Amino acid sequence: MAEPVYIFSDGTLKRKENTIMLETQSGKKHIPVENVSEIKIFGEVDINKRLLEFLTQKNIIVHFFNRYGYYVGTYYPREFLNSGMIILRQAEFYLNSVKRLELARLFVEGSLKNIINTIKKYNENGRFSNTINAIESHIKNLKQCSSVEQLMALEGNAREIYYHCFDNFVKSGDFHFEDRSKRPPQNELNALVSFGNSLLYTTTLSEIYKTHLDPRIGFLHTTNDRRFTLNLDISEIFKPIIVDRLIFTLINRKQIKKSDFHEITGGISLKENARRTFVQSFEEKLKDTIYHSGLKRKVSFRTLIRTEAYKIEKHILEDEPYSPYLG
Amino acid sequence: MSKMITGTVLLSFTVCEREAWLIAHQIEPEQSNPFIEIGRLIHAESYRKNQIREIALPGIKIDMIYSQGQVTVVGEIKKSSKFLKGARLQLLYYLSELKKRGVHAAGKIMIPKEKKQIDINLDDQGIKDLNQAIENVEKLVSLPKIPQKIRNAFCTKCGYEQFCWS
Repeated sequence: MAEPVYIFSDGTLKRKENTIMLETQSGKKHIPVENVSEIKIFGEVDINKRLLEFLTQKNIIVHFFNRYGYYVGTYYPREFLNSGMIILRQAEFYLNSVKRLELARLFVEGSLKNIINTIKKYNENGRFSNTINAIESHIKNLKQCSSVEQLMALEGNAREIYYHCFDNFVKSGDFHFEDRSKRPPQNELNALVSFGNSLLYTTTLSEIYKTHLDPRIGFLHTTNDRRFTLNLDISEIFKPIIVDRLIFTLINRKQIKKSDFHEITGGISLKENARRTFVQSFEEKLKDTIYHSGLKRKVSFRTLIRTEAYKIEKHILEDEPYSPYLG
Repeated sequence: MSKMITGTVLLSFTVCEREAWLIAHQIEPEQSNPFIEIGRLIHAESYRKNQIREIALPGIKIDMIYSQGQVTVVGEIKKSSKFLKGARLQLLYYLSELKKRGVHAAGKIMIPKEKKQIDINLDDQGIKDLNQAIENVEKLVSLPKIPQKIRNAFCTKCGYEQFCWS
């Protein structure tokens, strides 16, 4: 079974016959290429063209992060499952404002519903019932939005209500959410959200790569600057289910503590050990399985992300209307 | 959009119309599907001694071509004898396309795992069956929408399973 490879150490990554070799100060490590599904690099790693050619041949994506754990970019090997028809349909659904709005609304709706499902997990004695009601009323209003910007604004408001519950979900007094802050995050909870989200964005991008969709054409997130945006759209559905729940669990189990962070210029960042802990739990979470009624078998969360992309393909081919995964 | 009749489309048509439509529209199956990987491996590892392997022409991907005395033989390697009807159409199509290019050949379905070889000839019956199949496939792939999904015994092993049933 091919699995994602995370590289935290500094060194050189190269092709060695039919394996990938990581050479660091502490020695050489061979990684058989058939066992690699994607690579995420956090360390200072030298690579060369020979390696990139090898990775292209094997359709392996590489995601780069800087030393603070922020996403830098992706080595996206040549498209290998291109379908002209899908790309044209995707563009058509983007350019047609009614069709785009419909898809964008479904992403927001799925995201907010999954936020509610996450809150419900902590809703002992109904103490978050007001929050749930408030977000539900936002969901009702989504249908009245006539532009993607309005959808985004509604989502932003609902998300703010949700973030205010974070302090209550974590049982440690050491963590306070306050407001959502990015680039860089101003406190520990925000740093965890940012780190978790960028792991999810890159994972979703890797899954889209295995489908026929073009990741540059998103619907909720505006397609511009040739950036990847469809992965941001699909990630919205899974953020509350995968990233947020993981953060609460890690803090409540004291696997991540206040001492796992350090100050960086203008903000807060996770130390390397905590990053490793987070990544390990994140990968375990992606391997968790749930029963899929359509496929009539259990599938992993990683597969669920890919099937979400397939559902969008079917939507734009006008085969079956998209309905977001609710967990 | 180019909707090409290919050997693979003819083969899949006998199994599932939806699959044939998708393949004809270049919407390819999931590559990490274990059954597709096994198929790829059998192709790579079987009959390694034969002189000419894998010739690609538009719509045609011949696994193997070699001379047997005076006869040119086109071989199609299969994992099992499960889809013989489709494999026969696939080979008939290759033979007919080669004939248009002035190459008269005989066909063989080769199943290394079962140590079986089945001769296929472009005789009158073959031409009739092939033309009928091409006509049906052309009708299918010109449909603007994907044919509805229908669960069959092959679904669980198909590279489109996640696409169809997600």
